[in-house]
Amino acid sequence: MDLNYSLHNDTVKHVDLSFYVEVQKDNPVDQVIAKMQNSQRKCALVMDQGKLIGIFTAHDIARRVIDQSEVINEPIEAIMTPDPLTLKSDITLIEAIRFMSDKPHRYMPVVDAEGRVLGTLTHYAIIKYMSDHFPEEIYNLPPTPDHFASARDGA
Amino acid sequence: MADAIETLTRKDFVSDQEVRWCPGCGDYAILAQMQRVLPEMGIAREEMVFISGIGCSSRFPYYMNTYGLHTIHGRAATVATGLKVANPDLHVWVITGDGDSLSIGGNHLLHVLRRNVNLNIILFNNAIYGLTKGQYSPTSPPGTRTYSSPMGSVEQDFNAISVALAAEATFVARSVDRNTKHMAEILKRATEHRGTSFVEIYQNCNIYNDGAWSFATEANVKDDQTVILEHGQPIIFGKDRDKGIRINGLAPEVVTLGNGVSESDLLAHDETLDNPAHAYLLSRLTHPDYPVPLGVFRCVERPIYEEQIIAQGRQAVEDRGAGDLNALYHATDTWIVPEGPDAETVQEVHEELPTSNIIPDIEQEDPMAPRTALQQLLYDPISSLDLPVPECVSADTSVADAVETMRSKNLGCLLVVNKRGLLRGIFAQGDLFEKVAGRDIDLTKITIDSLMTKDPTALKTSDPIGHLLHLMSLHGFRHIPIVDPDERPVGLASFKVMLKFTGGLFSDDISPN
Repeated sequence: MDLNYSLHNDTVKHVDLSFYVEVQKDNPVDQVIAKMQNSQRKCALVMDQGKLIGIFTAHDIARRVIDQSEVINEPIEAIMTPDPLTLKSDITLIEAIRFMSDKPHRYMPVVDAEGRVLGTLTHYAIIKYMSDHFPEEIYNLPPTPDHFASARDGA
Repeated sequence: MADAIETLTRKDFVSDQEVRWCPGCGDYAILAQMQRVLPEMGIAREEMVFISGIGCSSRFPYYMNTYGLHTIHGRAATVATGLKVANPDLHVWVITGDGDSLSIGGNHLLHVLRRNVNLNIILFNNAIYGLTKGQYSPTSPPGTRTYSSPMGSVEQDFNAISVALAAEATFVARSVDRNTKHMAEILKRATEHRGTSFVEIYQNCNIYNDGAWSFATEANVKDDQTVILEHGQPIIFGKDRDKGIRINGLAPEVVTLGNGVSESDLLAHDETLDNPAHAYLLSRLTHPDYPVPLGVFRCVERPIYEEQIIAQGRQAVEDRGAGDLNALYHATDTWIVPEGPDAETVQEVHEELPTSNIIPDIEQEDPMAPRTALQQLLYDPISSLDLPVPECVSADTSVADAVETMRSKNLGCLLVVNKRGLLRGIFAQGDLFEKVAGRDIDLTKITIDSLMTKDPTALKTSDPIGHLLHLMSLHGFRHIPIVDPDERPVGLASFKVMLKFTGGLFSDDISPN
């Protein structure tokens, strides 16, 4: 598979969009953090009656929570980033890559034509998607670049 | 002790040995996943033993920084069984290939499986003899043309999963070298299983049998030609997840969902069934007639061999007292053989073997050809990336100060250096997320030394960009320090840098090929 062709023809829904958790707007901040930690997801989408109203990420924790202990009992709604930018599920990956590399966002919720949340596009998922095109060149490498032997066994 | 186990990282499992597999071999991907998964299993390194037989895959123990034995052809399972009986506390992995365990070692494989020794068998199946330069193996399909079957193999091949099930294995699974996430899950499941776990991994030999598993790995076809088994779930597959497996009499059939066929009509997977018929039926789903199942076929409990053997030994000592081996040897019917006549002298014969020319030529790149976007992405040196200069701090910086620095300079991570400016650690937002968030810790009282990743994996500016992608995609490292030959940080690679580079690399003028 030609990566260039894939990037221009596959859309964001073709990569793994599962790297997030869903929380409700009145969940307290500490519960949201615990949910993120337990599932090892660095992104929480904040929902209100099934609609996406905000986003809260590990980046926000490092910037707005980590040394402000008074906020951890507040509802997540008070500290999330409201009305997050979203990506339409039918945009191509090359468009998404160019869009995300100009923005500070590491996590972009993806919505379908009806506005339903399909998941979250992450930098990691894009890197993984690209690497999946070259398993021999990327996955089949020794642990360090200088680990190749001068002589091989067998072939 | 528990702390020591928790802090193990991938690097702890990388040995100092040169890896002597051909460049591009699928064995590398399996090695990388093993080194990624083991630190999460909470097992001390000194309790791990990797035991192999003979073949390319059997070089694996050299590359793991654990105990290891490179044993006799086909006999890894036997040595492993003995080791487990002698020291049942060890965690033992058998690393083997389709030749090692299904040809010469076929018998040993059957018996370790039926005995249910508590160890893990990883069978690297590349459907070829690689080390001996490309002869057909017991898993090569009929008709396979190789150096030893120039007109096509006339032998029925083995289905490794079916063989394992027939040998009463209690844990049977399959994964594929290029699906790294799936392989990691299966390796974890195998490690956790009590009893013999048997994992077949489809592994590409890019020299002698390249593309043998492409139906299960190529991005455009794999979703239609494989099915991921999930316990308790109906068996559904396809890029659009619109196809499934239904049972018609005793035979499986592929059906398309819709038009009166619903999920409830499909076969639901149950790995815990005592009767292996279900798992066996799944094992017979083979390419190209059916999607090939990946995942856990069977996972059942059965008493463990070495526990019962050791218990019997204890019982015997209790009942009859400790025995005397020497007395047993000399009990009856023993005698000394007198020295015989000189052994026949054997003339050593050296015969010049004809040099073979069957090693395929490795294509040489034309150094003057213009670099394609892909070559740039995979092979160009890291120095061609536009890397930000990292922010470096010392290990005694308080976490509070580090948080403030990252906030004011809008950084995702800091590099930690010693007095000579050499890289000692990396401190990232992920460390705050994992180790501090939600806990009541006074950040002014602790230093980043206690939270940072010590001695992080770093690359040099001359290393290829492909290795960055290797570390990022297999190990999830968001930030990778780039250092000079003295280990001084000179740049910081990140997911974002890679995305930006990729975005600029590919033009919008494309033609499919």
